Amino acid sequence: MKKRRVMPMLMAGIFTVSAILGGCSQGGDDKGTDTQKGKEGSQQEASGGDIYEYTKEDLDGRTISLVTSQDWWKDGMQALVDEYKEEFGVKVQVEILPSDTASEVIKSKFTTKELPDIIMNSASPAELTYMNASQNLEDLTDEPWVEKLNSIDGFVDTDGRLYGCPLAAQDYWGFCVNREVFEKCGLEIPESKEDLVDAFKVLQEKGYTPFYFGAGDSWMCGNITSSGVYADSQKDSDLIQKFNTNEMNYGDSESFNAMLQDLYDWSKDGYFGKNPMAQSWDGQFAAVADNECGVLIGLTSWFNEIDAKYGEGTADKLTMIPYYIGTNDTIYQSTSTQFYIPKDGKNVDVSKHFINWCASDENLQTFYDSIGAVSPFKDIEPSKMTAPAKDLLDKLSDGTYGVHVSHNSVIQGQDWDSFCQLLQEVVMNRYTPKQFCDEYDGIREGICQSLGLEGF
Amino acid sequence: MNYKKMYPRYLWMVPLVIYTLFYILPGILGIYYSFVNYTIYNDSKEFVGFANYIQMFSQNRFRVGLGNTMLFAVLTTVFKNLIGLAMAVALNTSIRSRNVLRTIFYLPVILSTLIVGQVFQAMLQPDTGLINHILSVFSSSALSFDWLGNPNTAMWMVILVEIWKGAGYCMVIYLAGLQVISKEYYEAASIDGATAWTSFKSITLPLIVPSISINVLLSVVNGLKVFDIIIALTGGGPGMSTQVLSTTIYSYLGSGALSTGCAANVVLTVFVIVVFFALNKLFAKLEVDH
Repeated sequence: MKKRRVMPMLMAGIFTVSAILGGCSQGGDDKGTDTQKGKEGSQQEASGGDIYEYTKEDLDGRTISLVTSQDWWKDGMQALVDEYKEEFGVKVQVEILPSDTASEVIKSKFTTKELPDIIMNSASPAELTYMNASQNLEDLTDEPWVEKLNSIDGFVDTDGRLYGCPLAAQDYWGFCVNREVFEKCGLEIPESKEDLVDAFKVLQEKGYTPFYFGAGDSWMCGNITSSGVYADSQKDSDLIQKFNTNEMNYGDSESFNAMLQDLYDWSKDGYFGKNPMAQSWDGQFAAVADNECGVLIGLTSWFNEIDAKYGEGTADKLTMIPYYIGTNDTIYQSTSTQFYIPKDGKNVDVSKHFINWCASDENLQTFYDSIGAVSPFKDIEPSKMTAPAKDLLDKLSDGTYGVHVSHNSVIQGQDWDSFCQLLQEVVMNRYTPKQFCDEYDGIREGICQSLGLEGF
Repeated sequence: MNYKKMYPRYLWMVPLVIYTLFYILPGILGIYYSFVNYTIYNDSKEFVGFANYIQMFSQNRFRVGLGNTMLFAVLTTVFKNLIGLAMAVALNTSIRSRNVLRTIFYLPVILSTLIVGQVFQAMLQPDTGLINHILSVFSSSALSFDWLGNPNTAMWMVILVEIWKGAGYCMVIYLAGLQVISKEYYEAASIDGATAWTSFKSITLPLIVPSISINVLLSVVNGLKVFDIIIALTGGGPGMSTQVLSTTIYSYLGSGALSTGCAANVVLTVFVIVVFFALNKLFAKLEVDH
């Protein structure tokens, strides 16, 4: 009797465990086989000929996946995707993530290695760090389209290799002065921080929001600090190296603290309006159109969006001036978003073919015409550019204004979400600049230790 | 006993294996990760002792999250139960519309939290929100007040929405508790000249302790683990003003600090377990037999 019970029990146990484990291993095997097949397939196809010479016959019926964010995905890019399907029969499945969660979703995709064939992401070192570019991404340095770039310096990783295609606007950010509001208040375009603060006082007296900067969206708080360490780095050429080797941190940077102090003081003085946290990036459109404010933050490609939303010429009343905050007097040159191809993808060949096709002269011209923004590619200039964008480019080329890149693009170990969230606390006057630096430097130290950076 | 009619004993192994694989093992892995230096930036998993815990407790954002979690758990538990009990007592009478009212009061419970978040976000919007439009009748400045964007009011609004959403659930459990109390107790009390308040205090309350117990325990545990309503309404902002433990854990994991996130999760789990057992013990003492 006992034997009869023991045997079924043992059998059931073995079957249950093996069924579960078998199920797991089956999935793994499939995946492995698929990946292997994919790789073999790619290699076979690649060895069968130059992937850039693929025709519709080679590609018809294939599908590639692409992940992007709502903010980054432009109509012009969708048009290219549609055109590519028409020409080569390849379906590009685009997953558009909501802007506010895109950064975290993309990060988690890298953590879990559940990556699409092409991923669109920001190109700052913070992103390159967690993407672990040299291990996870295809090296695109020798792709045919690379020689079309004006310069690859602004796009390469710390190892000097290029992992992304900057098929996006080369944007410049600045404080945008609403000339209509300034004229009504009898104000001149500010030429220094002192001029700007004087203008704030007048605007406040006249009942305008002096500076609308969308602080309710935490990334805007991060954006306004882009110039934080620029002035210090002009005095000390090793400054960034010192940051990256733990010889100094944000709390030690005079220019960064001066910038934070202005942020704190301007908020306290009401220059950001009654409740800056009620402001958002999207709210800036209405703030411009309805002449609610004197100054806001804008970027060159944004002028096109204003025109598209409120009618041609709406953006013409804006003039871009440098980020006159702290000790800075330069325009912010942002890193553009880029297209990355994960190494382990099943369709590396088609992905490379797609990007190379997008980078043909004709397609580049069409794309940049549609977004009307500055291009990082040689001889590609949009046929139509807004007046304020053109005006700014003229001032940059004649040396009236200089440019800075954001500190988070050059200082390693960033936790951008926490950085921006803590900055909101400064804007709400609940954190002093010192409290901000103490807290954030601690967070950054932990990341630098994880990265194994020397000195941490 | 007819053994042929019993399920074979070896069947207990199936749930055991499933439970071990999907519940116990991830839990143990979480505890293990909280003691190593695991991040998305590298693959090393070196033992670091309590370093993640020390780092976490030294950060203000964790302390803020802990404080907000406790505030949320206590206030929502108290008010969900008070309002739920009041509604249950009121609807335990023979009024005509009681079934309709019970349904209406229970309705928020079945709504998706994300939908509730969207609805209240719209209602609490400055300038355009329904709440501000109503309040502007009394004060014109109320129209532009940003309830969710103001650090002084954001947390209170989230708590208010959670109470609105959860009170109906408590009501249903209290109704079930009230309906098993024999009418004879009240009749006897009435003959002895007891007032309504005395009857409630001396009969109703002691006899619904099991309902109070289950409601309080569930409310506290849900309050300590709160995540979705915060994300739906404020995303933890503005700044850190509505950050709770779960959103802090989410933030740690999102920023790549996987081990610190696991450490925070261990703290939250231990916290929930301790509170659960303490309350359970307390209510066990208060329970009386019918």
